[in-house]
Amino acid sequence: MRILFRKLGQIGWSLPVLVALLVLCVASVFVIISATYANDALRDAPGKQCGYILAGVVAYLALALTPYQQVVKIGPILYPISLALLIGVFFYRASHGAHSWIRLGPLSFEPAEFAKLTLILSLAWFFRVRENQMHKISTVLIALAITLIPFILIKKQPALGSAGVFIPVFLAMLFAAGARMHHLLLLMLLGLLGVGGYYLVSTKSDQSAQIAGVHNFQVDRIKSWVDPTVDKQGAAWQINQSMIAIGSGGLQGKVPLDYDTLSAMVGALRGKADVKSWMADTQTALGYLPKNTSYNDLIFSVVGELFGFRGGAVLIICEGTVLLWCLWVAAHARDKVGTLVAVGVMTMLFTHVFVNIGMTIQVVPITGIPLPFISYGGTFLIACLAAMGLVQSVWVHRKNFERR
Amino acid sequence: MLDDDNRVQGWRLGVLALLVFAAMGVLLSRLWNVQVTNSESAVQRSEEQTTVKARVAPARGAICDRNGVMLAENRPSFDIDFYLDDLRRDYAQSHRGRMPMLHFPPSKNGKQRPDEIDIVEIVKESIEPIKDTLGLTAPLNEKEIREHFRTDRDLPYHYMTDLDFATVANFEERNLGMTGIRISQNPARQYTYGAFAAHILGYVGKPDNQNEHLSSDGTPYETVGRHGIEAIMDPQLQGQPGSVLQRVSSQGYYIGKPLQSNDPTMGNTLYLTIDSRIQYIAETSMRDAGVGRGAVVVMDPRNGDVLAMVSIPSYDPNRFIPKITSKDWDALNQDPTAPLYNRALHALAPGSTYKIMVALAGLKSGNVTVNTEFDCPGAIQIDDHLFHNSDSAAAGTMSLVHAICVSSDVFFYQYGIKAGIDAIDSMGKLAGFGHKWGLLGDADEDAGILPGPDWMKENDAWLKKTHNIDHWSRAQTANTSIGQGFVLVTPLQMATFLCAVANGGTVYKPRLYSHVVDYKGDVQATMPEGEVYSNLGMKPSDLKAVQEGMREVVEEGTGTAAQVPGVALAGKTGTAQAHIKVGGEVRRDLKCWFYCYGPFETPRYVVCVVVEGGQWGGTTTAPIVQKIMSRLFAMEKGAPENVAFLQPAEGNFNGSTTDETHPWDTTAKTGDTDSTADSTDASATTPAADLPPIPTSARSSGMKHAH
Repeated sequence: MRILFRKLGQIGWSLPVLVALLVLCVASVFVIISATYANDALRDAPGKQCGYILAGVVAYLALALTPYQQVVKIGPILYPISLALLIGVFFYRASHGAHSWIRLGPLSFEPAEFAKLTLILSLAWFFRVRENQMHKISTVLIALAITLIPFILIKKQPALGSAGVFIPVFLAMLFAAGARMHHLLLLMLLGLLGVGGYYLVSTKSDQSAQIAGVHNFQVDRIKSWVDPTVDKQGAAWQINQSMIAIGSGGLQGKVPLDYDTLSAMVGALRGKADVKSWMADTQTALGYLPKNTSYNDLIFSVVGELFGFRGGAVLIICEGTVLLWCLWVAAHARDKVGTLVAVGVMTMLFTHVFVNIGMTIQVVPITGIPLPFISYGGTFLIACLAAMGLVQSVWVHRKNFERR
Repeated sequence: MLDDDNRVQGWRLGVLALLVFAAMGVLLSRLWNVQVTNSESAVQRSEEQTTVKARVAPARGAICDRNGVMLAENRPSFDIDFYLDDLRRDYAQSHRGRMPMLHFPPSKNGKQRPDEIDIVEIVKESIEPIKDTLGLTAPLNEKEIREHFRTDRDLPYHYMTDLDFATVANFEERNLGMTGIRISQNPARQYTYGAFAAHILGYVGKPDNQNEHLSSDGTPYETVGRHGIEAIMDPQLQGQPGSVLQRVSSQGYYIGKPLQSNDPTMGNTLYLTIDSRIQYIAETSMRDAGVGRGAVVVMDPRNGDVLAMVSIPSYDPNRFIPKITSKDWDALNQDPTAPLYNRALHALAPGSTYKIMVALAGLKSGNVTVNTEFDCPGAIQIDDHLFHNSDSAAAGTMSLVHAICVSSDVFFYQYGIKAGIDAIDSMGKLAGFGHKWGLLGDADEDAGILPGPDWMKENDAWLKKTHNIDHWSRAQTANTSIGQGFVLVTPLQMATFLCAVANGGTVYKPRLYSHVVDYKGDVQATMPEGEVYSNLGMKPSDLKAVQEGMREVVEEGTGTAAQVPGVALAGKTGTAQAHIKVGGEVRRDLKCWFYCYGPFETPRYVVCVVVEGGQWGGTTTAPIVQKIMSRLFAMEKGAPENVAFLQPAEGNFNGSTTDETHPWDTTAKTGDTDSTADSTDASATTPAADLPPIPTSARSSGMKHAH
């Protein structure tokens, strides 16, 4: 018991990030109420999200208080389990055109999110094992193989966006683990050449649909990102509507953040007020933001429309605080494993934040990945909070912890 | 060991931190750019896509007769409308943005027309599941839908119009909120009495050109006047469209109350000078007489108001509402009797009715007087040509009044020559011959021909080519004097001239409409009553003599069939030779005229009737005038004339004949001494009626109407 209190006493520099996480999670509930306004099938989403947050907090606390070294140790055991789950999804019927879910009775979850965590743990474990062979190309190649197996399985679902997260996580951890720069550069160069060649072939060819491994709509999304005027009603619909929603939010947003709105939001959460009172006439409410993505992938568009630049900036700063804190923890980790875990989690979250927000404001193409701590969805939220628990653990068990 | 590690990792973590800072910076600056710098255009786009401005069609102003009887008005039409853009949007939503596209082959000059959304396919798919239950049975006009989608996609496309109550009820009951398909109530034109006054009223239709007929909000009117009064008074009759601005969801549903709405205004009501009872008398009198082609003009000689204007055959303008079928349209256009053509404004050879004008011209010139006598043998020699009297019988010596009464050709040959073509010409100009009155727009009115040396000079080349004539001859003056040869006059011109004869010499501009009144009842514009065009400038005694001659025509001359008991009338018969082509065959087709005014002492009515393909003016036309006049005076005394719905009058060529030995050329006469100049042997230099200069026959088949 004493040690538990001692661990809680170690929070210190992690206070700001706890505040940021609290802001993000509370905000997510209100944003989801607003985003699901036009979607009758998701009336209970805000309530469920509250449950997911609670479950995530439990996971966070549990992991924060467990020494991360013990968790990393079971990485090699979790890795094959996650691969098995990723294969398992193909035995379930596809929803929205992708095999992403595993359903066990009332429970259903996305193994891909779980796989992101196990990859971080596995790579951390592997680099710890090969601590003295980091300069060898074999280390790099084996790590690449560890990454590519789940990557390919997820891309098969197909969920290119989600799979794409694995690459930066792998690169950043490799980088932080001390791999040689020319190995890294070579990897990146080969990767870029591969992707570039893919894109060139797919845009030049008239039968882009027939290019192996890339789905037509994926090419369309990239094309519409380059030029949203191409097909306003088709592929570019999402990006256009996102830009309209965010742009029309302006500096202030369409919803005043005053007492009335806040109490209406709380009332709506308790089923005692009408969401309409603050949502009237917004792009979101009128259904122009695609109603089946506005609560997850395009949720930042809702934030931008309702709360304007001020709301969006607060959100970005909160997420940025979380990311920088992860690096801060990495720098103060007790050992290399701790550093790698923190860097891995940071990179995973960073990729999600940058791509998710970036796609809504036309910085990157539209891909289907959610915004950490904000998007609706249990698996991902719990995974993110669990990941934050891991990093918290690295902080709690940092190097001068036992010297005191 | 640990310290070593951390030293290595230190800069690497720094790099990652920089990356995070940079990325957050990129997101923040981009967000600022989108939400603050470029917010306005997004606000505008948002407003554009979340609001729909629906246009509310204005109601067209009514057309009334002089007493306020509605001749053209509006009735509600229940239409099934397609909102094509809504259908398109709904389709995009339910098909994940995949749209059926139309691909065009590259054109000859190598330009590739961009692909287009196949809206017809979308419409088809959208109505497929509901078309049987909702009764959406009408065939889709693909071309029209595509055109509408290209040009007016914000306006509803009227898919089915004029639904019956059962269809409306069925639709309202079972329509489960189908996006983009709605029932709406639109004003539709209705011509209360069918074919009644069809040629005056005209009809409405869709505009030919989307860029013309723009309303105040810059959008084209859905309905514009296409013919007749509807066309020429279109700017007055059009109302201003209203609009409703509504918030619309991405599915196309209207959300909440209209944000803004402007009511449409109704167009102005136009008052005609037509008296519907008189028009009805004229219409039914012509139908009762079985006239196959002809016209009536009734005017008020005191001010030039047109009281009735009838053209036979006619059509029902209601067939044009909302849209004439191509079958009906082809039938109307291919009918050789040309039911769309307004014969009251169509120039014909006037025959002996022209003698009244010649008589006035001679008296005014002073070259002849009322008492000038001419010897009238059966035929006389003029410039090497023998000119016959119509009955080729010698009648001794006579003066003007009796010559009018018996319509002696030989008298007027000599009288005209003595008066001189210049006198005839200038009197014709005063009377308004050879000039369009422009009642219904210049396009549908003939100017007619007032022949003379001046006219000949103007049409020099044409005359040489077609008739081999290069100078004006006495023979032509003689022929003109009996209303043959080149002379062409419209029934309206004749009636207008007769008004002047009846009222003492004032030529009033004929007037067809008097004023327009806006929906509040305020008079917006007026057409002055009794606007004077000219004065014939006759000495009262001279005019009196001509009037007397015309009275004798009815009393004991060629027009006795027009007598109305108890009312003295003055009139003149006329029968002009003409030929027409029917089905490639040239036929003789007599234009039988009668025009008269009454009562003789205080003239209130001028009636001019022409029947094409009749027998003689005195026997074919005068009885019709008699009917009209007697009903007019009976009406004045209180006899009811109940205006009723009229079916179109059918046209025919019954009176025209291929028989070159018309009864009239034989010596056996029936006492009718109506005049004609027989062109067949009169003279080679008198083209007379042998395929008249302006090919009236061509009008029957070759006239073009705007659809």
